[in-house]
Amino acid sequence: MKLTCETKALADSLSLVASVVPTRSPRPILSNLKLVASDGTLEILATDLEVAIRRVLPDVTVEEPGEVLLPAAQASNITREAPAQSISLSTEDQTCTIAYTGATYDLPCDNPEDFPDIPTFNEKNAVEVEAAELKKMIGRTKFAAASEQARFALNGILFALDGDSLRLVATDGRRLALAEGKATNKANISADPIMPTKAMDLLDRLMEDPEEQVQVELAENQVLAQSRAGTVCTRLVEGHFPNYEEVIPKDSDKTLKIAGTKLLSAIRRAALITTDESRSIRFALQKDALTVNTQTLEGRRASVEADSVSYEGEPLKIAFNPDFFSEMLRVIGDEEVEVRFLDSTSAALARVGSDYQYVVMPVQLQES
Amino acid sequence: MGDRQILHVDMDEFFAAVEKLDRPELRGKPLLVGGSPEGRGVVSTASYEARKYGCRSAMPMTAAIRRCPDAIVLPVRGRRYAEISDRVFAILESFTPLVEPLSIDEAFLDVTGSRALFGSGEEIARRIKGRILDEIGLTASVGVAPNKSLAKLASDLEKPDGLVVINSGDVHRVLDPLPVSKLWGLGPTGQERLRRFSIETIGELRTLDEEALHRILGDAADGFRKLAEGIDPRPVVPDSRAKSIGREQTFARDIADLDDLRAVLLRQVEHVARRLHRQELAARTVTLKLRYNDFTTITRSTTLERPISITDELWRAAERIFSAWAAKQRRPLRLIGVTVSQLAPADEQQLSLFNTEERERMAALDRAVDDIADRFGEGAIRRATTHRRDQDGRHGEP
Repeated sequence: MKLTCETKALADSLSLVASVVPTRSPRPILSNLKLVASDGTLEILATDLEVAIRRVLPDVTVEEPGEVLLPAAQASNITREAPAQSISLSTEDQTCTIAYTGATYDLPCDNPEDFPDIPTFNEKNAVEVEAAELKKMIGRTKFAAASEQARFALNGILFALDGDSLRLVATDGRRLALAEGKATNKANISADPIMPTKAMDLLDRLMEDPEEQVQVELAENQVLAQSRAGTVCTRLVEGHFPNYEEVIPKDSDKTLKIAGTKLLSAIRRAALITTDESRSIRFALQKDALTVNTQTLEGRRASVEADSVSYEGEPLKIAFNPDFFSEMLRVIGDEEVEVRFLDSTSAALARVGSDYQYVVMPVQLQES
Repeated sequence: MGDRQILHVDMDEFFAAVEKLDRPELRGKPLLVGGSPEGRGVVSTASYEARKYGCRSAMPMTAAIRRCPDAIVLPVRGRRYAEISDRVFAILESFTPLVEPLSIDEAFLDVTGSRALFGSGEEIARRIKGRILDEIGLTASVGVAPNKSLAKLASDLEKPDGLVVINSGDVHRVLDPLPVSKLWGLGPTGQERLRRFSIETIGELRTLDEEALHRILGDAADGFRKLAEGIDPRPVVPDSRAKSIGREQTFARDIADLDDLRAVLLRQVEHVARRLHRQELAARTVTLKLRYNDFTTITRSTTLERPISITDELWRAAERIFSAWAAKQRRPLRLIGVTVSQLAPADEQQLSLFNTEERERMAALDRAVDDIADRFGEGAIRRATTHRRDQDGRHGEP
């Protein structure tokens, strides 16, 4: 194998792919990236046996096609630190040489045949989603998934496909995010796999052109998603996703309307004095007014009035973990959010536009 | 309350006994385990041979050596005693989860609910003594009675290696002739006051009229009279508020098989979960302790976003740590253990979205399992993984 390419493009690709490489693994071969060079493109692959990624790098001058395994950490460090415009890779026997003007690295390499096979994309069963839309949906849901693995089925994102409607749902048991969008589903596939959050993250990073169509292939126990920049292949999270439709409140009779940025600002300013032990924020709502209150065990108190608020319904006091609101508000930007409440112990339902719902459970109010 | 069956298990000359166990040549010799005489240490345990010379625990070591110049003085090896103590408590907890430790070598057991499975209180006491002798090589004295103070008193009557049963009908016959010093909680001051009124035995105290006793002992009078009557409603409280809850096991032979280790670990997690539930606590940190055959000990822990208490959730956290270890280390283990810490009240203020679904179902399952284990002992109910392994020792898939 022998090739030359632009250093920055290679460095970015290597570091994206290297993020899949497991830090510790029973199989040392997995600490490698696999590089495959063929007419004008370089494919870079990695897997942790759960999730696999194939990044396709165009505009590569391939003098000699071939493949090689490179130790992930060194390869991405070498290319990231390289000051030169272009960089070349070549292999001879079991050694790969990385070179740019003024520097040469010789790395002994494992045999590429020992690297596990990574499934390839099969276009027949694929559905298509516009990249911009899928990106937005992933961004609006992934933060709500549980990051720990103690509750399985919740540390992933539900990818629910029904006709041409696609829903992504994520929950950690205390809040739930539901984003809706459209898919082109020619084979009329119905499925609702749970995708690991890590895989959705990678797919997000592989969508470079907002206008392209991303293809998603739903197989028995794995999902492959392909953009022009590459493919993610993932095993599915096992288990049943909880019945999310049941927890979306339907009988809320109090409505708050406010710009996302204004609500976020009020929450952040009120949370400036809170501690880890007493983190909750309290909303005091009455006709067209919202006050965000906090108070700590040490006696610090804050009271912040939100700006430009519309509120209809009985006055209400309700407390929340501030992160549950601010994480959602950060992804919706300056769109208007409508939050509906029933009472201080029932879930609140936030809606943004017609395609995003976010349910959050309150913290039990301590009377003081 | 008359139906209760309480055991008090007290290891005989515990520290000295462990020394004799580890160094058989010390058997039959007067031993003083404790701080060095130079360091003005005190006796922690005197062996029975040394007690003949008047040596007692809590006595200054120099004084004890004066009484018994031939005694062999040994330093306290706390970790070794704790290790043996863990094994003793593991035996106790196999008969009932209602085990209240009083110290490293002493505990109350409420076996009221275990009788259907293991026989009468006396039978359970006999089995416990037998297992401690067979599996560890030590003797214990056990008192069996309808309440804690009587059980404690009974265990002391025929030490060492004693087994004394006090039935509800025997209470006065057994208690009345005993000196008042045997009453639990009656200190030297109280004993001295009673002596001034010529009250030497429990029977004399019991039959004294109420006002007189109140003049002597003040507000405590009522409590001591009840004890003298053999009345003590205090329950056996399995765990005092702890900073962490853990369980570990040293194996007779090192174990290399990962599935066997998993099965042990799962049982430990179940045990720890049950103790959490009993105290209505949840834990944020789960720690595994692993010891290799060269005694190298490592711990690995994980801290979760929020406190958990459901057995399946705890198991998943522990299993994840175990698998991460197993992925890069495949050495046989001498000991494995699990501890949970960063405990918080389980009634979290943050409300949950799925109260009516899996959480409830899992919590309900936990409650049912806890209930059965509380009533019939830990072996009565098991998750399928641990059950099959115990039944036939095969390496089935979980």
